Amino acid sequence: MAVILLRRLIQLVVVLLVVTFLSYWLINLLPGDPAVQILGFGGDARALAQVRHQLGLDQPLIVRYVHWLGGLVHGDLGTSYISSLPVGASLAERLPVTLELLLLAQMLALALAVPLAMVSARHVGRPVDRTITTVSFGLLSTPVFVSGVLLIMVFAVDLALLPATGYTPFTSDPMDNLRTLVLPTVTLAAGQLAVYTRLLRSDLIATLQEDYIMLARARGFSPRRIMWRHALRPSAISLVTAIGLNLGALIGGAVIIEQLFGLPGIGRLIIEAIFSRDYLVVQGGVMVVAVGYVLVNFAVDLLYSGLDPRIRRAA
Amino acid sequence: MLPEEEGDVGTAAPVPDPGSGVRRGQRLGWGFWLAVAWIVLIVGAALTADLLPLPNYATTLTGPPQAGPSLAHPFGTDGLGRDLLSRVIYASRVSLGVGIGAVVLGLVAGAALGMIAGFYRGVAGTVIMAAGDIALAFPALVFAMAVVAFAGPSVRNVLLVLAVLGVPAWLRLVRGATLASASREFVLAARALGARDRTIITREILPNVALPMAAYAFIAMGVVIVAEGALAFLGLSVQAPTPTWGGMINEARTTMDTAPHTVLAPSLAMFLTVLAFNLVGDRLRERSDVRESGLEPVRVRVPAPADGPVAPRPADPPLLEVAGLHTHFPTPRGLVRAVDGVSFTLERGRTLAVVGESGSGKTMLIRTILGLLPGATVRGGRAYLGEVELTALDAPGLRGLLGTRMAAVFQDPSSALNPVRTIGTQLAEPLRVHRGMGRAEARSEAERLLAEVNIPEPRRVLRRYPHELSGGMRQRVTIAMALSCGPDLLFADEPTTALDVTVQDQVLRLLDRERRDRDMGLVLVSHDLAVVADWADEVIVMYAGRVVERGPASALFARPRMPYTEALLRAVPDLAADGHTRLRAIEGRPPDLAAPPTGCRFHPRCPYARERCAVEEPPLVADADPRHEYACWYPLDGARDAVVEGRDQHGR
Repeated sequence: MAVILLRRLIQLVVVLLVVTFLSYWLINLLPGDPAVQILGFGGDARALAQVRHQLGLDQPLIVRYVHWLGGLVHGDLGTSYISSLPVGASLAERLPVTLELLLLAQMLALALAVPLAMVSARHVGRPVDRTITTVSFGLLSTPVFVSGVLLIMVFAVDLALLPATGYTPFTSDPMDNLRTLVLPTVTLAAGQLAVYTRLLRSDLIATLQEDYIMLARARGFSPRRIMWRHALRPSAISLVTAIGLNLGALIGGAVIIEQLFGLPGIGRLIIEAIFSRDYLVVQGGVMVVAVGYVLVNFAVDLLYSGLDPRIRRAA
Repeated sequence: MLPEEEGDVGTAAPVPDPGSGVRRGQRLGWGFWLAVAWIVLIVGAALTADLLPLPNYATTLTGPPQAGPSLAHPFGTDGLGRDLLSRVIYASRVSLGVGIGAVVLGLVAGAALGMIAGFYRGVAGTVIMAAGDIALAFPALVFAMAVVAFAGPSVRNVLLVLAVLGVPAWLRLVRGATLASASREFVLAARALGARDRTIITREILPNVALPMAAYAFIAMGVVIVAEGALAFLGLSVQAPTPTWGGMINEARTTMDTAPHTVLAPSLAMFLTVLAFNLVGDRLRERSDVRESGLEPVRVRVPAPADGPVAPRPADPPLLEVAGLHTHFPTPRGLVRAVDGVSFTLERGRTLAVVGESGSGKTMLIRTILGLLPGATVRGGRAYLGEVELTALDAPGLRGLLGTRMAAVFQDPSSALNPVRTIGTQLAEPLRVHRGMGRAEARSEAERLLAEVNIPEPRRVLRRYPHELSGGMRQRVTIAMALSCGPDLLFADEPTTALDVTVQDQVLRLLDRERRDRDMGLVLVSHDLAVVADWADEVIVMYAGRVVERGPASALFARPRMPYTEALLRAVPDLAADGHTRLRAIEGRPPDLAAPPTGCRFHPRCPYARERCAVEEPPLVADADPRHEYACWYPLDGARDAVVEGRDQHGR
């Protein structure tokens, strides 16, 4: 077990290096020159060269990457050319908002998806199953900016129940914080809910055909116990994989939702940086997201063996 | 031994081959065709937009601003008085163009790479897959936004970025499909015949991966349309004056409180289009994936077989009494009569063997009594456990008896235990649920039970997972589980079929000892008459859902009257006589239960059948020993050996 864990950790470090390098490299590939941006068009060539030298842009890519990585280890991602604020600090300030949104949305989606999938799987083909599968198919086909705008229209404009935009930090007023996050969370969770329900339903249907479920019924256990204690865990592997793999889609959704609902999260920071061509912030933001994705999927990989002891042995 | 297939009638629902052509053609459904119609409509509108009598999408004040739907403006107008229908249709050009274009580009690149990775494993494949995996780690939409923002928002840039972002998913899909078909026989055969790799890929593999690829292409178009919409919503797609759905939704946010239709029109167009692409993709995927098919129940109303009269219960009822039990399944081919009027009784402390081939209905009989049938079944007849009528109980009522008064052991111990729970957890569960034991008490009782079924080192086994035990050990564990709450009646459905020959006898011996020690009734189901004859007091032989012969085990074994019983006995290798005699299976196949043969159901396979057998169904009649009954017009005569010899003389 220890050896496997060590091997996995080495793998993780390698992947992280590749991912950080690629984020660095790709952003560098993008057209546009920070020096031109700082001096404005029509700056003379000598001045441009000097600024490039100051920024270290005249050094080879790999040198700059190692330099950047060195800073990264100390939490230093450079200083924005535009706002002159340290990139690391800006990201750190915005990250909790996004994390809260992602976490709440995941919790809401899972809390609803698991029981819905169970009801659906128990009554395959019946009206309740048809309703659940149809609704989740509809949710799956609704882009977040559509559902978000519609939710604002109904709950913020027409009913005036919830705020459409704005954000209150959790530390200053927890209740208000949650109120401002209701609509964004629901919007983000809706699509995930659909994905999770469909996946788990289909795996549960397969599991419920298993002999050990029949035997559990033959031992007189209640349907609820059989679902939760016997069928859920053997059916959860695809679901857990999806939770990890969906993170990419979820972050894309979060960017739009933060923009739509005026949440000061990392997605909105990246968008603002993209519009203002703030390279270092975009770079740092993409890197944080990519590293987060890799780490979550690493955790999911470890979770597998907890879910199914047969994998533990095969690993 | 008879050819025993994996699933007896019960395990797989008795629906015919789920992938058969007839059903596949019908399963697309009206939703699919509606979706196709919508796609055709919207693509057609996008292509012919210039020919349609529409106001210019960019002309302001074609009507009053924010006007609702009217004859002149079917979708109304937006905040600047522009015609919304025209804008929605022209915007669809961008969405559909990017959607279809990016998918085609991504498909071509991803499919080429994926087939290479799947077909030539080794370095090239590994590098391609590693690159694809890492690409998946990047936040695609964020990256697309950055590229489009820096490179300039144009259709070309949006299309290219979204195409590139789609490649890793295509790569995975195509590689998976290629791997699966590259190892199939026909590809291996083509390779062995010296076909060139390229020929194999285009002629053999491509047609096989085409359906899953087409399915995913539609789903991917939906994904790309949403992504383009997201970019447009953020102002990062095609710029004004060209309308885009995402851009229209974004603009309409300012007018949504006064003119909701400005939001609804593009939202609805987008939703319907994405839905249509998803639906088509999903249906096509279902067709290429057989896992889900065959599950939907057939909705037919069938008259339930008569339950028979409610007889007053005798003062001292037998442990188990079954009277005229029927179990029918509605299937697309008609009603399958899996159990068709079975009656028997079983006293406490005795063993009843139920014998028959696969598909004779013996497993369904047990499941009917236990109430473990799949949803869409029709039941008739009555079953009593002592004074309780089982067939009159609802699900919770039956649960009160299952595990505690009736227990069951099934055929395959490797699938009968939950793979992700330890033996200890599974064994302690009924003790805690039904007997209300605490954790520690249940644990020690579980250990005692394991010892009782002769498992060495029970304490250690409690911590093991099922896959860490041998087949015989697992079956002992399921027996221990069945016995844990002291049942009066134990059903053992082919308890030894999946086991090693050397273990079979031990397990039967164990079951018999437990029956004696606990004074239980034991119902032993088997396809192997010779095996159960040693352990059973009474035997019933089932064929096509009916009892065809019944009686004391010794009588049946020594003097079978029904040719089917005799055939079952002949299908058993006689180990004592000669190790090299050939196994003789019964000629022909078990009957189709949806359309059973007329007359005696065995007549098409019966070597002694005569005209009457095909016309009239024989009733159960008593032999000289009145406990011995058989259903045959021309019963065999004399002792078993004489019959075999006599027949051989006639060269049959």
